[in-house]
Amino acid sequence: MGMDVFQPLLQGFATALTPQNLCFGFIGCVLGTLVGVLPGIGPTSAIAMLLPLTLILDPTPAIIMLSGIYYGAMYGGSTTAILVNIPGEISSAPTALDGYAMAKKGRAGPALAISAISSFVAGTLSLVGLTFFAPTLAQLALHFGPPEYFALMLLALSVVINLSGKSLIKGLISAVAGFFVAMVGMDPITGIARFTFGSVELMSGIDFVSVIIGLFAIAEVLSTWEAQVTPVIRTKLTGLMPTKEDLRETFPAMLRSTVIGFFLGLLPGCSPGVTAFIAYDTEKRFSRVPETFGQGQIAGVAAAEGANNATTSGGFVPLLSFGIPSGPALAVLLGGFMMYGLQPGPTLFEKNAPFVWALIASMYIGNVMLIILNLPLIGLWARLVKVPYPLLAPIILISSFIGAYSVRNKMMDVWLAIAFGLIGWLMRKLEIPSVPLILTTILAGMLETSIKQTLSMGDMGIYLLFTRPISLTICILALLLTISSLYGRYKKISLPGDDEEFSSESIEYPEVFEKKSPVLVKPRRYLHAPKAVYLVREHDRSRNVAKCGSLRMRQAGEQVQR
Amino acid sequence: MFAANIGVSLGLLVLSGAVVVTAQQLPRTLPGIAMGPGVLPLWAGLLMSLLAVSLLIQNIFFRSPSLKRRVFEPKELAAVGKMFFAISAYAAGIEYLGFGMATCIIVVYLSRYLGQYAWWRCLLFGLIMAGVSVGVFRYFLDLPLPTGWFGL
Repeated sequence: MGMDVFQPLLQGFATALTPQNLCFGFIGCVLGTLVGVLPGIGPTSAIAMLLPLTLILDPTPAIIMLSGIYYGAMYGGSTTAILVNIPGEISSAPTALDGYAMAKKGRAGPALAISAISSFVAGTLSLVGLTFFAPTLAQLALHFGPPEYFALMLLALSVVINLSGKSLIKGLISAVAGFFVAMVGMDPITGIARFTFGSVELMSGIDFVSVIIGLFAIAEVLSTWEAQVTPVIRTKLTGLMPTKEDLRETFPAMLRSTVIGFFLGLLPGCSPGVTAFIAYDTEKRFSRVPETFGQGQIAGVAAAEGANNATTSGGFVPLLSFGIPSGPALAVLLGGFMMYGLQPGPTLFEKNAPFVWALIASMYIGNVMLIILNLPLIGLWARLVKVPYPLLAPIILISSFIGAYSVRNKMMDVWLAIAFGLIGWLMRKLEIPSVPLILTTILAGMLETSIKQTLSMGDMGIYLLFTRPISLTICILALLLTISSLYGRYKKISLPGDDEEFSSESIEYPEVFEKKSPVLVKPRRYLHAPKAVYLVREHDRSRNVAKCGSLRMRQAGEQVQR
Repeated sequence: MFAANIGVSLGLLVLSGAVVVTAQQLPRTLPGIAMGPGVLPLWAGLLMSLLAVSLLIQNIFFRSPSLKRRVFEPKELAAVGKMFFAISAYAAGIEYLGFGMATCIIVVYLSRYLGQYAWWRCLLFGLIMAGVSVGVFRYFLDLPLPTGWFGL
């Protein structure tokens, strides 16, 4: 098989390396990174916006550029997630959990570098998979029916337990609230309106982009303004590159996330957002120090970023082989194929082989371009942190509003984003995690469709799941993950977002530490430095690494100012 | 936190009750379709009410010391209220004044209010931000941003 693909791949490289294709590939990568960096402006809307503009081009450079936007956004999405805790893409949401914590400890540079390296490694390895094993893997994915998809959704939902923070009940409330959000609009099968309250604009449902923008971007603005503090990372932007220890620590995570991201990416409906969460969760299970996840664990950054990049390559397998888009961005890209008269499917490899192989080859080249764009320019992105908040807040608001508006060109989406911003702020105050809500908002539609299709397949009802080997295997896996997560909670392993130990109100600071914190206006409230010292003193014997992490934060010189 | 949790529980109970009632008005089966549009909302509503009751019980009967802290401080609420009002006014401004003008106003307001920079700096920053945003999104990316009454 290898020799069968080697020759056309070389021809593909010859086509992709022509100046025109290289140029448009580069433009796609730059635009992709840009839309990834800007919160709220996703690759889907960027591809949709640029699709009509590419009609002046030949199909090959046009699709190369549009594809570059898609996978380039995965690189860029991590930047704002790490620097300002606002994921540019939903797939970068798990990156924010540890990346932002690292940035707060003065390690934004290594987090960004590992993110780029992991993206490159996973992106390239998964492209090798796409190139050599696509036909075989596509055959396997072809055997998936509605019960298997339903089982897969159950597997994805089992992650919710691990993302529930310190209160499982509140995590589950957030997850069910996601179902509530997703149920607004027309039923996916029958088209009957639900919870639209007579509004025509709500008939098409609540777009999850508005939800994400509200819960992350606008809630962040409100929370930061509420605290009336400007987080400043005093660490000079030197030593940005990761240490050997960082690389050694993250390399296995990169490999694992590649495998997870690529294989799950083959399955339609399994978006980079979902696989990033699964990879993050898996990495935590493999880790010897799972309690450090969510507190600035670099392996968490590598896992999430590796998985979302591997998934983008995996998603091209069903798209090119069967014409099945695995996510919204690929669905728009499918429209681009159609616009040019290219019919994705088995015949594409026969009738348009030079185009397909040029596209695959361009993705290898694009990955190299992206790591060049991202690694040396880390300092440029990192400077974003130094922008004073009074100047950054309007930028976040403007890009968030445009992002919400550009999805459907409706002000309704902007108002929804504002409403979710307020909800997000309330959730933060009430210690209800928002990530489960986002996860279920994305999954609910697919879950409901797959349940309905499964039930329509015969008289066995839901038991059909347990009669098919693949769906049964996935169900068992989901059950094992759930039990293991519950066991982890029982054993009180710290979870992402679980910041009980770091709550200012839960700790009574000794006077001595309050006096020794000259940089803090109100140490009791603006807490990090004295808390870190206090916690390490208190918990050193128990060798709690998470709390040692807080010591590093102190040493890195994190300060919180008015 | 105790009062807030109780409030959340009661609020969720009301919300889930409304969802369940609405779901019961939707068909649960349809010809040829085993699961109608009312089934998932019904189960989701019931599950939410169960979780709300669980939260209520947990707070009443298993109170932890961390529940003693206050969640909402009046000063913080006032600050968030002002910001939320500004954000909402920006959205309304986009609809009626147009994206460009509204952006200029919100940038000037926030940089002056938050950053307390000099007026001329705020105005300059507002004009630059509005110009760049309109140029990039409306003209370069061809996004049909709202123009409002003044066509800006």
